[in-house]
Amino acid sequence: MTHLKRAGLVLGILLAGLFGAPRIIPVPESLLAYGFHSSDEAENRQEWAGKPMQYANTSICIDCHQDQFTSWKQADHAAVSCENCHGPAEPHLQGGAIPVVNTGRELCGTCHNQLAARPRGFPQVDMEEHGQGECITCHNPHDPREGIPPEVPHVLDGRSDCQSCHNPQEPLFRVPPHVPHPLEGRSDCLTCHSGEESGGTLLPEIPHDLEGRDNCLACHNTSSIKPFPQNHDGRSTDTCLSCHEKE
Amino acid sequence: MQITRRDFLKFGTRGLLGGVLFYGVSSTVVRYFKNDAAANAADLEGNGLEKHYWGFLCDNEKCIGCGKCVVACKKENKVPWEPEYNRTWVERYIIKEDGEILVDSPNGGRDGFGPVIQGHHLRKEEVWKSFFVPKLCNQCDNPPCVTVCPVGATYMTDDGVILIDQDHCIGCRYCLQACPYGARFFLPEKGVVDKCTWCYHRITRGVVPACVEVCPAGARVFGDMADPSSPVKKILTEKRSYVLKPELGTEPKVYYLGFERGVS
Repeated sequence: MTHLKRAGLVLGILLAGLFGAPRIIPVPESLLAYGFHSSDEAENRQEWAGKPMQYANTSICIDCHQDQFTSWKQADHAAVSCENCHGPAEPHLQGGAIPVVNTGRELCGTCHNQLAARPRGFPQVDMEEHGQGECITCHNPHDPREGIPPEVPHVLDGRSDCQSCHNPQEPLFRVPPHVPHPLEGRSDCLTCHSGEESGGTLLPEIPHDLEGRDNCLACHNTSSIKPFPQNHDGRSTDTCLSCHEKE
Repeated sequence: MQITRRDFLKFGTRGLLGGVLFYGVSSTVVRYFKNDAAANAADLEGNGLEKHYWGFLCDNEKCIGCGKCVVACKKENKVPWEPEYNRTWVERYIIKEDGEILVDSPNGGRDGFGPVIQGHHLRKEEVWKSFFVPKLCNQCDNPPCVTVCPVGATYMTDDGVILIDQDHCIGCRYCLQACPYGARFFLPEKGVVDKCTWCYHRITRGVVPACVEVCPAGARVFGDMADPSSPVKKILTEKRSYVLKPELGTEPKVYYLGFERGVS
């Protein structure tokens, strides 16, 4: 029996050695250095955690841009973070250029074009029917309800494309008043409807001075704005000022 | 003292094998435990990460489908701008009156949505209901992607986020097949797999992920499930929520509000 026990012991040790020895001799030190996964989780986790941020936070923007913050924070767009429209702030914080905002209609449309899937109550417009050109002409992006609908009559400062709202040919622009005169050949509305002359409102002062106006018939004709006395038939534009003096 | 040949061989062999065995077992054990302790000390020192257990909430009823989250994610994480690479994306569901469900996600929602869905311009009467569903990695508690990785290149952190060690990833894409949510994608330039990390570099600095940062509708909420005062925990305490494909037992950590049949 002793004989068998001894043989068994030797065999056991031999087997353990056979499997144990190769386990440590050829296996490199680094194999289990990271536990049973082959990647160094702790190091890799630090690597992910150490990546640089691109989007800062609105709280960082307002450190410098206090003015914009004041109007923005109490308006409907207060839920829209600065970087949503302006893009990631980090390059700017590192001394880079001030982020340029894409002011095209598409940017506003990503939120406000009319879609069945948007929640009810969320402000949406049919982009094809609602206005033309850049939205920010009328809508202040920091305070979108400011001046909407525009005060009537409204200040003209800063508005150049009158016809995007006041356009009788486009019934989709439901903005009153529709212009009481044809728009053909008239591009510069502000010649007559200027801020100074009309006290910042729509109607030209009457009687008005003639400085800079060389096309009286554009307004004063039989189909449009009076007065246009009957006996003026046949007169052309370039003769008005021979009778009607500038002052 | 006289040592016989027989004794020399007997004790010598036993001693040698015993020594080898002891060294093999002990060194393995020591290495394993030493690594664990060292890893925890290095990793968690100072920032208290071990105390967090992150959670993410998507409110389908608030999402307006603007896709700003997709844009922010791409810029924040340097994800290629092309539409086929998305760590997060937005899906639009349209359930028609006849019961048919249409789903689309043009460019992942990166450029917003238009009136046309899958080539159809649906009339108002045809649509029964329609809504958006934001999608991202669910950071499952029981992640199939981690299970199948043949090289152990993907793992779950103590705070519950599944990360990929892209230096070890061999690009076999088993995990893409294993993920039931389609959250992973292959980066051809690097030859590795990538996916949402819940902006691990932001949340470890105490800021919310970029998609949450820019969401104008409050449809994405992020927070610490271990903190009763965190926004996610608060909302989930008050509201009934659901997860995507619960039947798979993956135990996702992205919770959804606004359940609708057909969403998965």
